[in-house]
Amino acid sequence: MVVLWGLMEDTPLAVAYHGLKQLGVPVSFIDQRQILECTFSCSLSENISGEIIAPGVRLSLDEASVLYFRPYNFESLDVFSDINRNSREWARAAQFEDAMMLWAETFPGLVVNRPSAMSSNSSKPYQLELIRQHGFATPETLITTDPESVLQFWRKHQRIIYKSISSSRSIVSQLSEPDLATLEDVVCCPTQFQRFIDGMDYRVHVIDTKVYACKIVSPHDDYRYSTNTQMEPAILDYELEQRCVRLTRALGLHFSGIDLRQSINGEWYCFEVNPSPGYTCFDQSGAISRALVYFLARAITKGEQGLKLVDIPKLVC
Amino acid sequence: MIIVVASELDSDAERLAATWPRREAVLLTPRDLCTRGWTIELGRFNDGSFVAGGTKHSIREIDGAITLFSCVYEHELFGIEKSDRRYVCAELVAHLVYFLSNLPCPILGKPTPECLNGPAWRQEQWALACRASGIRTELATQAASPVASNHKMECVRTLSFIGAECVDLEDIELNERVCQVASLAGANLFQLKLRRSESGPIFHSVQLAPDLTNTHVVTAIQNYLTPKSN
Repeated sequence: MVVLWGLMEDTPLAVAYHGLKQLGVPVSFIDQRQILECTFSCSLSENISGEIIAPGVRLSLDEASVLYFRPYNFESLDVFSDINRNSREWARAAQFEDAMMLWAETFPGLVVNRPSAMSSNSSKPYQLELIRQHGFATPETLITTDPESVLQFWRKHQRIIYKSISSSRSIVSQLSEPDLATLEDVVCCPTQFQRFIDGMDYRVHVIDTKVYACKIVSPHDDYRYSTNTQMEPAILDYELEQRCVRLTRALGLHFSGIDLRQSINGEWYCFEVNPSPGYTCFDQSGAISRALVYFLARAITKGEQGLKLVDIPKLVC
Repeated sequence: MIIVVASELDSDAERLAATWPRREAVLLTPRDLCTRGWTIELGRFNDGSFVAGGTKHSIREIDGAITLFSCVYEHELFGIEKSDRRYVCAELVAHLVYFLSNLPCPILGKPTPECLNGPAWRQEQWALACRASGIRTELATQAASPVASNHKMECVRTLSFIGAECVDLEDIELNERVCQVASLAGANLFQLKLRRSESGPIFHSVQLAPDLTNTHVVTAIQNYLTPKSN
């Protein structure tokens, strides 16, 4: 059985759920929104064994062969907006979340992706160092609490951007003259600056050994926040594809979303590897959805022979 | 120079740094992370500078490091606006993960991206590692956390693992088993707590922070981190 955990309105999870259903693969969906009605009981033997009881689900942990987890921070869910942090309900939800994470960490089968493997993304320079070791160019990067160092870096590279060091979402922005008025703020918190790399953005999704690239045309420094971003499928050369597969494997991931930029000189820069990609926005042809669903299903059927070919539903993100 | 990375509210850590032989150690606290003087360029890590004890230093001066906390807490960011503390905490932790992971010197309490001083393992994962290493575990079955009930039982023995072995442990076989636990966890600084039974010691719990009130532990830490040439 494939076990999915997260929210049904999250399109990557919904696509997986409906796709697996169409293939006739047993699938169990645990709705994070109903976390207060879920219980997780377990014991330790060689691994974790036990059961999960959720609305409409009674699942022995031994029945699971594949886990695909995309949980949100439960604190931000609307169902928790009126629940006190010190309440029994809150503690129960936190305990359930923790148990699910423990299961994902110790589960002997396929996990997309194991939480510890995903954690490199929580420190961008840490991950960038790993990316660099795998043969990608990375932009010159400065982390500093020293305004004077920022100015020197700016003078040296002419165009620089700044963004968060952690996985906290921040809008990637170019440093400009008006920012100088607040430059002294970097003293209060180490800040990451990078040389601006002029070129074309690509988002590459790797699922096991399969690679799907998408070219992104945007007038904005951070295409995620642009209203007129255009995307089109792209083909990368074989060596670059294999580098993406190797990097994904080296980070312990089965599924990744890699942010690349081809500079105007033709050099390939890698900025980040997203370990839980919300890929549906980049999946105009449905190829990524199909590959993900078949990858999850293959682990159950031990190969593609038993799988019928079906159209994976296309959901709008 | 040895850097002791800890909360400024941790008096044991402060004492460890202050009493280090030849005054070689300096405390690095969250306050230092929010101080002018940090400058690190990727790919040129060793040329960078950092702040400890309120003073800017070259990264090349660091001979060893010990990390004594798992994360930075919001309540310690005294100089940061309350509304910004959550964001700043995440940034400081991410920065420390990068900084500590790249230090080219011995480090106790090696960081992982999830935890500044070791693996972010739940007690159940430690129990599984102990079981795989030949240390008995007897955990009750209960909702969500089998280890929670175990904590209610009394711990009778604490083994301090520092660097590559347990401190003051004459039982060679048990030491080897704890070494195997350390290897499975990728950890080099932790306390393994055991319960007693007629058939031998049983896993109770693991704690990453060392017992700095134990002079043998402090000596073992100093011996591990002090440069051999001294």
